[in-house]
Amino acid sequence: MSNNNILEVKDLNVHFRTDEGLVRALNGVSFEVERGQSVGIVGESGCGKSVTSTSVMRLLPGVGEIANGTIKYYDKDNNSHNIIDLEADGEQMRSIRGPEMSMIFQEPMTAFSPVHTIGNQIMEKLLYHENINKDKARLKTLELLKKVGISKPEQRIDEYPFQYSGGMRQRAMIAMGLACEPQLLIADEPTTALDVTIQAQVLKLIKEMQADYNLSLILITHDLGVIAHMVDYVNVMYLGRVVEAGPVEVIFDNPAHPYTQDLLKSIPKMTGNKGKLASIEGSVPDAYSLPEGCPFHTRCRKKIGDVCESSFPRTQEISKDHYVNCFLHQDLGDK
Amino acid sequence: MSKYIIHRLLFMIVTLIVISVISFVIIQLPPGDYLTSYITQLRSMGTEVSQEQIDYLRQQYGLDKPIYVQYFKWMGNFLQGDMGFSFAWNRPVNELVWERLGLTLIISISSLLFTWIVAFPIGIYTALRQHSFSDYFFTFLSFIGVATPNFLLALVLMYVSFKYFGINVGGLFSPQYAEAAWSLAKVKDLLSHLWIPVVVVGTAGTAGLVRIMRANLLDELGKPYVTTAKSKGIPNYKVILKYPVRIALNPFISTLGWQLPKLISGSTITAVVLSLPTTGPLLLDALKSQDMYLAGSFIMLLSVLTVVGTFISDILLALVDPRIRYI
Amino acid sequence: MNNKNDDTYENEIYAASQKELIWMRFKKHKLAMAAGIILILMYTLAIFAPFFSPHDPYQRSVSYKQAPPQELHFQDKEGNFSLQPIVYPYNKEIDMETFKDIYMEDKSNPTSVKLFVEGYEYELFGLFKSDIHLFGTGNKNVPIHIFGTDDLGRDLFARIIHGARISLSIGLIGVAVSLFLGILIGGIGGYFGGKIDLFIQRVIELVRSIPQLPLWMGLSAALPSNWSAIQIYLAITIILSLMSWTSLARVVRGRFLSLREEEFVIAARLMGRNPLEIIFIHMLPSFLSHIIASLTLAIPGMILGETALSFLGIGLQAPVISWGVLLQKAQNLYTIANAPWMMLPGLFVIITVLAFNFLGDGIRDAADPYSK
Repeated sequence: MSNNNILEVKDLNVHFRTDEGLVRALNGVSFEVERGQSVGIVGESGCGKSVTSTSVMRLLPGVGEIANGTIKYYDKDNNSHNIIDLEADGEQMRSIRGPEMSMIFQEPMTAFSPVHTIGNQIMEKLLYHENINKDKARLKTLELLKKVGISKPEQRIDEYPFQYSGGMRQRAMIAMGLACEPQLLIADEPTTALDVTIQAQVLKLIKEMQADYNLSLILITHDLGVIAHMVDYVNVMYLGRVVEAGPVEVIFDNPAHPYTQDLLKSIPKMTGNKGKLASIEGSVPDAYSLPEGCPFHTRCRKKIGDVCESSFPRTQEISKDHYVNCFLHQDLGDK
Repeated sequence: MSKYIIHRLLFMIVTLIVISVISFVIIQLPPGDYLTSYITQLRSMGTEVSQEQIDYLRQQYGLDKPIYVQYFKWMGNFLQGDMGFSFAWNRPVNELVWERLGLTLIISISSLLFTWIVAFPIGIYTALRQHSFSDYFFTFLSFIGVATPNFLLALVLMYVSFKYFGINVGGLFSPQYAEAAWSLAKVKDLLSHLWIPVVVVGTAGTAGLVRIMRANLLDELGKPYVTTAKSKGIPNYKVILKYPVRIALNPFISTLGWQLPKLISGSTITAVVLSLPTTGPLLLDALKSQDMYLAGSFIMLLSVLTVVGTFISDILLALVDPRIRYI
Repeated sequence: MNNKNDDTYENEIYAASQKELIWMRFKKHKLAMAAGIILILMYTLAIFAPFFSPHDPYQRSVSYKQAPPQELHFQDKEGNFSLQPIVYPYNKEIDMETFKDIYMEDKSNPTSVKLFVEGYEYELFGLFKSDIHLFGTGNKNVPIHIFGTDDLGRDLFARIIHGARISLSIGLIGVAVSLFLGILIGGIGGYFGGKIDLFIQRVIELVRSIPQLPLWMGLSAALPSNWSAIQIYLAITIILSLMSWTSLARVVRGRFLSLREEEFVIAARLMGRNPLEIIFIHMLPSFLSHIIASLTLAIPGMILGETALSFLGIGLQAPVISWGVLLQKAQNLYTIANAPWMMLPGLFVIITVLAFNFLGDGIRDAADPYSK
């Protein structure tokens, strides 16, 4: 009963079978989300952020498969489901995907079908999961559109995505996510494709909705600035692994992993704007041939030695709720 | 929407005018005018033609006027339903074309339906089962279908049905119905003969459409909106039918515009091989015997059919695709 | 200075040129490679047709009218296998009930097939004379008809490969003409954009909405009957390309629209180059591979068009030999039931068209792996 988690991901491994070979997209990802908590997942592109979220939703593309691990989800009645055991397109999974957890996508233009009205696409979800008629579903959709701040919803509901502006489409996307009142909202780079001014509005809206609906939130982004304002807890990912996790203020004030430290240095600051903006040396290694040992050792400035190249460091709790996988913080004697 | 329709309507009229000019040019192309050849023909058969008669005919067809006057005269008559006179048949063109045009239309439309009914499910199936054995099988078949000339397919079908089933598949009617008036029995007889030309004419189009449908659907299946729809917890088959299939259908409608000209082209040559009583053989005869009024009218009418068909497909496309509707 | 050094360094790393990359990707496309080889074979057969044909394609033979293909036996009379094949000449008998000719192998007269034998004399490209043929019996009394003969006893194999000269070249010339029209018209539309583009698009649409075959028929039937074979040939080619430049023009237009905004084109414009120069010198090379792919895919339409017109008897006429002219003989059920080998030219049409399709697909995929 002490468990207040809504989602527990443990040791998740996901592979992609491609013509060029096996891609290990996730190599033992673990994290938890408490009820009402907002959790951020950050990392460079290609680190497996989106694979993590699509695995939780069981929406991996055909070539992707979950090799092992568990994803435990606690529903509205606090029954636990291991999502990995469910059939991706089965009835049970579909009663979770949508009504229990929903997702906001990056590209609001392409994430809506161009030939169906916005109203049609939101109502579809309500009509499928709730036992209501079309008029009722339309009323609910109007309410949702109003809630996310779309003016003249009576007119907008019958319009097509190409008649909406980018920001409005993302608002409509949020409205669709909120339909059926899910508990968990996964936002995958929700503002990346938007103008900076619109970004702030959309993020503010997500925050408001989170409070109104008492949502748990997983925010996936490469933008540490967004993370700082939006979440309580941060998971930093690198090449399919979580390398550091901790409360947001701890991560920003006292980053322990060299990768996190470099990431933070590469944020442009408003003050002290002197010299070159720091960047991380080198580029992300090829996903087809992951380096042995700690995956970051090829770019790490603080590499200790051979040990970094031969084995992956254990998870070490270095302060309350602050975990890191790095030999710098590990007593090498017990290795 | 109405602006779009007016646009397309204007375009259709311009196209028709251009086509009428081309048809008229074809009528005019053979050396000398057809009256001269008609008179030669009559004289060779021993009929005496007086100078007055010749002058009368010349005047009637405006042959003594400049070429553009002749064109307008021809066009004016055409619009009133008078398509000129077939010197080879010694009958007005009107009497010759309508029934044949009707049968051509029946074959073309049936072929179109056949094309869609076959291509649509196969296209979806092969896209969903990409890289499976059946995918390769149908892809291979459709390549062969595209590469085989219509008339060759007709020949092969004729050969096979003669050799192995002992039936002669030519024609559209059994002999006892060919000259009979239209009745239910005649329609039945027509249907039992219709399938061969429909298969022959439709095959190339079917093969092409299977490839288009497959490629489009594969494109659409990877689009983000499919994932969005799945994220709503809707079953996969519903998602696929409502979204990607629906969008992949648009090209079917937009290709209607050039499917029709192809089908009518295809039916022309198939009709010659299978000796169908449609426009094809008559057009060929007319061209060979330089019966130019008949030939020109045929080309004009066939083109009108396709242009009108294209116009209809444009409107259909606007109905299904809001992106066009709201321009 | 420093920058320049960097540049050469970069160039050394990316040594594989665009052409090499395309070739590398193309080689992976097995089907397209096979198609390419088949086409090379076809064109070789066509170019050196007299050398490859054991008989003069016009030489008639009364005792071999509509004779079926002769079998090549790899066994001699005693049943021993031999690598050198043997043919038997035919004895003709007449079935007294149907009055059809029946051809029986004359087993008493086995003749081995030899390579590089002397036969009828021919001229290649009007340059040199020869009487050496790739294969034959070397015996005037024993013909070798591996594809049978037509109703006048002419060797079908010789006629097919001689017909390939016309059928295969008409596609190339026709495509060249429509390429010129397509690039010119499509290029102008795509380069200038705006109203000119709109007008050209309408023209393209207009041409596409006219049913091709009836128009082809009308135009080619109107060709003066006193024209020489070569004039008719050229006229037919032009008629075919008049209708088929549109798809090329569309490809070119689309590419031009996107290239128009590229810096190197803007630079050329600012330097005061005239539009035609920019189109042909600057823009065209940057999507040559696309053009080649579309060209390859346009050739089959031409070949099918010629075949169809000649088949109907309003295209090329005998004594010219083309696949369509050959297929004219196979027009009625009676012929194809009694002499199905008369449909063999059709098989060549299908193989050629398929090969061009596969080749074109292969080139397109290799030229632009992302455009699938």
